[in-house]
Amino acid sequence: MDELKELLIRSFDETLLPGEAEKLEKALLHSEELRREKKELEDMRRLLSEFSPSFDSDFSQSVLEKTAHIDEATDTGLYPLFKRFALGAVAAIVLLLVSVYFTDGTISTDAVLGLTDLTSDNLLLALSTF
Amino acid sequence: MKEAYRKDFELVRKALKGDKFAFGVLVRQYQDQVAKTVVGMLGQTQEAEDTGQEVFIRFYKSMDQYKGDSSLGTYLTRIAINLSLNEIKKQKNKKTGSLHKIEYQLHTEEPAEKRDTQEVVEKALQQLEPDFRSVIVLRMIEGYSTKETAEMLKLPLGTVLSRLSRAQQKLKEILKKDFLL
Repeated sequence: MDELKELLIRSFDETLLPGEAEKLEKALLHSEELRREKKELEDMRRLLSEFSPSFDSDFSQSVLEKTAHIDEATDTGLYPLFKRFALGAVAAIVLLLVSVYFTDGTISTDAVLGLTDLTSDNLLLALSTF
Repeated sequence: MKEAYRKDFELVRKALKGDKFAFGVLVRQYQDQVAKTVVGMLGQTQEAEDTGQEVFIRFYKSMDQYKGDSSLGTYLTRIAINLSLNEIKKQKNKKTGSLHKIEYQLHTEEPAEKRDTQEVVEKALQQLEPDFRSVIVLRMIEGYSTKETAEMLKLPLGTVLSRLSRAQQKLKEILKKDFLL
């Protein structure tokens, strides 16, 4: 009987093999207990499908208030300050590159680092200072 | 994109542009579906309420990732089941015992008999192991197919089927004791 009950439960969620389906069908015709078992399973599944809890009535309001706080934090927290600082830094870098280009006619690494005008005398002088 | 998802996708796009009303519509539209998952998993508790809110907050923060290629309900249920399982793990680690039960105040307009049935079903679910409870919630309460349930829980189909079978046997015994079957 346990094997038939197992088949019965499985029959609700998966397609049984032809032999299994036939076996179950025959057993259902002859067994009162199995029919009762089937009825109980159907009732249980109905009960579960009707399970319909819900949240408190102010649920959506609470969610919207929390999202408003997230927006506020994004608008007034460190993020805008960082954004302003980052934009300022980018503007300064661009200005620096433009001034290097006008001075040296190129924005190569050497030009940016100020190495284009470096002579061997300057280099020796710099090294001797250390 | 499927026609059914288009309406939700439009609301998401509006919400992304800062339309609070559109986001509110989405919350009200899907809060009952999310409630089925989190209350099914955590019971009618304060944690379920908080987890439900967290589902929508997570969604709000990552709305731009929703491309409308699946149902928004499924997308939210996926977040809900993961957060619920995380909450159960958190409670287990804390070893504080049970979750904070709150009074059953749902559907107050419904007859007492129906409210009682809901409460008995909720309590019966809490007696199942979380791994078994999750397949019951997704398959039988939310109504997803066994394949979808397996995908959501990232489990092989065979595991889902065997858990479903064992969970149903246990749940049937519990509900029989409560005279609901």
